[in-house]
Amino acid sequence: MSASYTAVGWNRQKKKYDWLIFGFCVLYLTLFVGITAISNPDYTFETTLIRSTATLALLLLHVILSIGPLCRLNKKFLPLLYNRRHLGVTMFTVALVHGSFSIFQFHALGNTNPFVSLFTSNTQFGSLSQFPFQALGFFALIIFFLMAVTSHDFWLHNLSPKTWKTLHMLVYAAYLLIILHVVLGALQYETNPVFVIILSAGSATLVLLHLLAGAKEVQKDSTRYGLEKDGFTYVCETDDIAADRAKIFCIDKERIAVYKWENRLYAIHNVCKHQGGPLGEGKIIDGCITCPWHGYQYLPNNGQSPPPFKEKVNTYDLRVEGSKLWLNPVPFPEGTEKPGVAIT
Amino acid sequence: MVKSLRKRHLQIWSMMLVLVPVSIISARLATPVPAKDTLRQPAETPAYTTVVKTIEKENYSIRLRKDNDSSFQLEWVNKTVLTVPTATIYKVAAGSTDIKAGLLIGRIEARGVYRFPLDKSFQATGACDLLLYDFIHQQVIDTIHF
Repeated sequence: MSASYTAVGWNRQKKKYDWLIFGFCVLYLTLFVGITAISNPDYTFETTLIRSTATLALLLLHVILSIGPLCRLNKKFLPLLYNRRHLGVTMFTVALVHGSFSIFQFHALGNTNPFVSLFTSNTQFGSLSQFPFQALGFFALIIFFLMAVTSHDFWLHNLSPKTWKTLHMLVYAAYLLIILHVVLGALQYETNPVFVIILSAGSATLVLLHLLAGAKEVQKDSTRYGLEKDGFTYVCETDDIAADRAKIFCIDKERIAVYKWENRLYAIHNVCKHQGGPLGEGKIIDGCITCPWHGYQYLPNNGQSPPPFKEKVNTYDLRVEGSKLWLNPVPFPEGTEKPGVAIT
Repeated sequence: MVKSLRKRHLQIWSMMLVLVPVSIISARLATPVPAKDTLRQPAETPAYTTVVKTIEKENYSIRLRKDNDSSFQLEWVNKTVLTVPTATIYKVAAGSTDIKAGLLIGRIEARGVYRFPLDKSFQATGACDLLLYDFIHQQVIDTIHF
């Protein structure tokens, strides 16, 4: 969280994370090149590099796309989400090496402009086995490029969260393009079933994770609360919420986080203004509700980020009767002061 | 995430549930059958004993070999790395450049020796040409008269 645009600051955790990613990529590429050199000594270095970077980028893409649903299914994966953008930029860099060497090797040795050659050398759009698969990879790479260059919060603020999120959801279109790029390209002549099985297993895992996470969210959204009184809904017992933590309640299609802090209860809108993170899955740190995704903070008593930050979320009315907690789902304007209710 | 975004995610991945398997299965079904064994790098096989014919080119040597039971083998020796890496060898009728009517023999890539088994009809069909064909650019790179 930063009040102004500064270069990305690498704290100890980020450095550790990035070194881990870097180490894994180097290890993977070294092993791939080494094994290929032993098993297929006639392969050129360019061919080996194209294949090693292709498989590494595909593996990283599957990991990246798994992080979101894994975090929704199990909070233990949240640390991976914190630096997911680093992994995304790494994947783009690896994919760029693959794309650059492929264009050089397949299209730069003739008289035609390599990019013209990419789109004109094969125009068999009507044939699956002869489909110009390279163009599919090129379009996916363009999407990854746009995502990588807009990954800094500068672009999130300037493009608006809605536009930024729409742009970054194009990753799903890119994923489909990549699957087609692989099955209509390399797998048309590398027909060993092992490759198809690995790709199918990766895709199936990814689709399953997303659908399971989606089903869990639908289940949360469809929770019914029976008791209502004066616009308030009975949601739980006050003891059900742990200290410095929250419970999330979905009433009238919106999620509200109710936090317990210093023996008082506070209700704020569950969606972080930064990237839509679930505030109710975070915790109180230094007296502030802290988003589990990227650490954005809000004061519990008014839903405002502490100065000089300007983010604000809605607050809600609470009532405690004995041990019962009642919540009014009608939001107050963002940043409205609500001192919270004492637990009796 | 707000509810609309959660809903959009679920819709997208419900579509993926259909699109991804359809893509993989369709591509698998469309894979040309001859490519299954011949487009992969052939395992290193010993050279047949008798050289029937040799053609020398600047960048490669081509030999038709025969063994004791009259099986034929095409030996392709790349002296240098080909500038076109997606090269395949087709056998076509003499003077023809129609690869669809030809026989796919195999694929060559880097510098080295490639040996491909040939059926006995290779010589029986009379004069033929070998086409070195770039399957990405759909171009004939070279024609070798046999």
